[in-house]
Amino acid sequence: MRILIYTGKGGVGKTSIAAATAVRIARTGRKVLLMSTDQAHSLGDSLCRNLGPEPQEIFPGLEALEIDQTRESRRAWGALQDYLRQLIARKAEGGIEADEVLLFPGLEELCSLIRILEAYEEDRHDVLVVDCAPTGETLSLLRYPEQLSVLADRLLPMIRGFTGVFGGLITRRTTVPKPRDLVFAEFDTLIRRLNVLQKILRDRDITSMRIVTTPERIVLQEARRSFTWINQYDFGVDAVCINKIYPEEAMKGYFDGWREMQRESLQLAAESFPGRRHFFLLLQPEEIRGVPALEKAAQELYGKEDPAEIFCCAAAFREEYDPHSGIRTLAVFLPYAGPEEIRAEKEGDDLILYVRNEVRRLRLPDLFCRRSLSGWTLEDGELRLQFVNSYQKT
Amino acid sequence: MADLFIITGKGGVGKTSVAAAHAVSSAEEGRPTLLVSADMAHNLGDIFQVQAGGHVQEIAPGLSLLELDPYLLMREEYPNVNRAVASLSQSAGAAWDKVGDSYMIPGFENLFCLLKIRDLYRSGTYDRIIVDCAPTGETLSLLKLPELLTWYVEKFSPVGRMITRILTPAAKIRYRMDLPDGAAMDELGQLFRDLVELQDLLKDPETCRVRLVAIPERMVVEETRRSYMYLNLYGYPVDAVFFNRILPEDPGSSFMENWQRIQAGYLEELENVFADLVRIRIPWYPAEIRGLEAVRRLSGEIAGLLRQERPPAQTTADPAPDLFHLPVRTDSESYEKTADGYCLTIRIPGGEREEVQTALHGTDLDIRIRNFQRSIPLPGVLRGASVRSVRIRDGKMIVEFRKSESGERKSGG
Repeated sequence: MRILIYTGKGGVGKTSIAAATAVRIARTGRKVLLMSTDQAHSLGDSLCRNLGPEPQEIFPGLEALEIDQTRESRRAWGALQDYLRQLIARKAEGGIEADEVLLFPGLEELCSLIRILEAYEEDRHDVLVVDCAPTGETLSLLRYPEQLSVLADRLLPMIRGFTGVFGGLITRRTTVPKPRDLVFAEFDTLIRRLNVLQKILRDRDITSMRIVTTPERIVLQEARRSFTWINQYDFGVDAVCINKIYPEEAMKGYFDGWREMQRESLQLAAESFPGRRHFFLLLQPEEIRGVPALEKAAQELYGKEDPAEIFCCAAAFREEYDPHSGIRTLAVFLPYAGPEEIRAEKEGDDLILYVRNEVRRLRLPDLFCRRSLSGWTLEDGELRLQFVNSYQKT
Repeated sequence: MADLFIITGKGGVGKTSVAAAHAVSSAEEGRPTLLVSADMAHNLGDIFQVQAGGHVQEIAPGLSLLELDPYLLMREEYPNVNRAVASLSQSAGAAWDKVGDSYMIPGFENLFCLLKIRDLYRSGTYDRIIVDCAPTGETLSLLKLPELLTWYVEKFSPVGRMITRILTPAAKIRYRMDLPDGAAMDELGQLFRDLVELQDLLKDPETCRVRLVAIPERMVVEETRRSYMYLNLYGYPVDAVFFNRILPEDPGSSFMENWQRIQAGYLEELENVFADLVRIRIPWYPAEIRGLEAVRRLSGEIAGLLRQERPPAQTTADPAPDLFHLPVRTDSESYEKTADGYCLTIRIPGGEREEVQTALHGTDLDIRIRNFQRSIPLPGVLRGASVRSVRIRDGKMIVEFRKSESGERKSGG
């Protein structure tokens, strides 16, 4: 199965582009599932259909769904939620907000990730097209599995042991019920599944991320930054869609000044994503809604190209070894990051990589674990982290 | 009068420009102002064309910028939060020290941002703080966080303390494990008192105002009315809405005239939904707003537009509305829990029972009063509920909901 994930700043037209892509691929004879992970769903609007959490056929070959957080969360960790509710229900003076509050931090991300994995495992479709939430939320989606598994790796066994020993005692002496084993089992399964998903999403032969932007300077700057972040997390961007380009006929009178700005931005866009395919779509004369309009947009966007193709498989991380100096280098592609925005630390077997306000903690490849981080350089958008044997340090 | 202004709305509607215009207007009144971005995808630097960052930076007299960086805050300003969490989780037997100082618990990013905003407010360094808030979904979780944590803590904190007291001797003897002492628990308690304080601050119309930004597009209209509902639900004082990117009378081409017609339809809908608020229409500029000068022009324009604006329906507004002193209503909608559901109270002055029709439509409640129709988005909990009764009393409509029998609620073990 191919997974195509469309992301970008709010208002750039991610949903229309994702929907147009799905329509196009389905029309050329493959089975497609189109999924919206944004809680502010607009996919139904785009297709002129009422969508729900179950795949609904739009036409033979294309199915679409909108993730329902409440429902998915019950499926993913109903037992834990029940347990929390039980604790909270002890003081049941709560109003309606108490029920709403029971949604867990990070829950949105989790639900979306699990649903993507399910679609992959069911394997009923050739292509999965994901309409993702705006940049900030996509970021938290991407880092969530790593964040959660750090927590789980280190904390869970201890907690489980502890409750096993003391749980009964606590329950007897206080009014706190003991969490059932089910709660832990659920959490374990969840973590394992997220790790599986992580591998799938990083595999360039399966998953491609696509950045949607408009030719406005501020939007483009954000797109460039997400390009950096996506690389930091080692996901693969293979194409960029530039949407809402003003047609010549619109840049008249009042909008005359737009022409120059747009020309410069298009130029910048062309230079910003080396090695990635660029697709362009003009601002349409009206909202892109309904299958025929989406098909037309896809035609303009992709021409004869097949959007399910893999347009670029560049790796974000590369390992090097220099036998002369004995230095191992981990090179990370981080375009547009300035040296003042980067910080790197080694903590045990982990590398902690700060880029601007984004921090990733990742497990180092085995060959790097026993070495120490001696320094780094930044050349042509590539961060080179040097690891030496501990004895080399002195 | 309010000195904390939160500007929010769906992504791409121009929140940052509107927030920036607020900040510039305020600074030009001679009041020291701080513009804070709480969006993880920060834009302040782009708008003002400066290199903004995680530390406060003054870019013009009395005007400072800050892009909140939760990791930086966690490390530099609130290491005690992690310490408190560490001691709490150690009391649950977890080896927190193995996780490391740079670990962020999922969902805690917002906590650090909120703490910082509270401290900035309390420091008194600035007369006004303008917060540019992330796209709607995230804002809601930002605003929801104090509520969420207070809930958990009210329940867990005393329990944790008790557990500690009971178990410490046992743990020491049997497992050579150190449980948190009273001081660590106090630290945690302090953290939550801070959050409660912040919450009071955010909900008090005397200190805080929330402002929405929307553009006349289908998806945006839908989402903005939903977040307005949630803001009301949680009791945040919303006083104004900015309709951005409105095409001018003569947009220069038939292509754009077509878009103008599309906008007109959505604008009408927006006007209805936000009838209770001050509404300001900002034109679509033929250039991007970048640089201090451009923001200054926008702020001037907003001040001008505000003078022409109609006051919100059913209020007698001051003769000269000023951006930082707008009237606010806080009694639009409220929910109460009943034995088997919820009771919604909506203010509808002048409505009589005979004229009011209601119908449930998906997750919305449609209300029709004579020719006026409004649909109110309902909170997720009421999904699948049914309307039991509708009453009108003292200019208020009271709708009683009954939760569905087949609800998701399972009785716990």
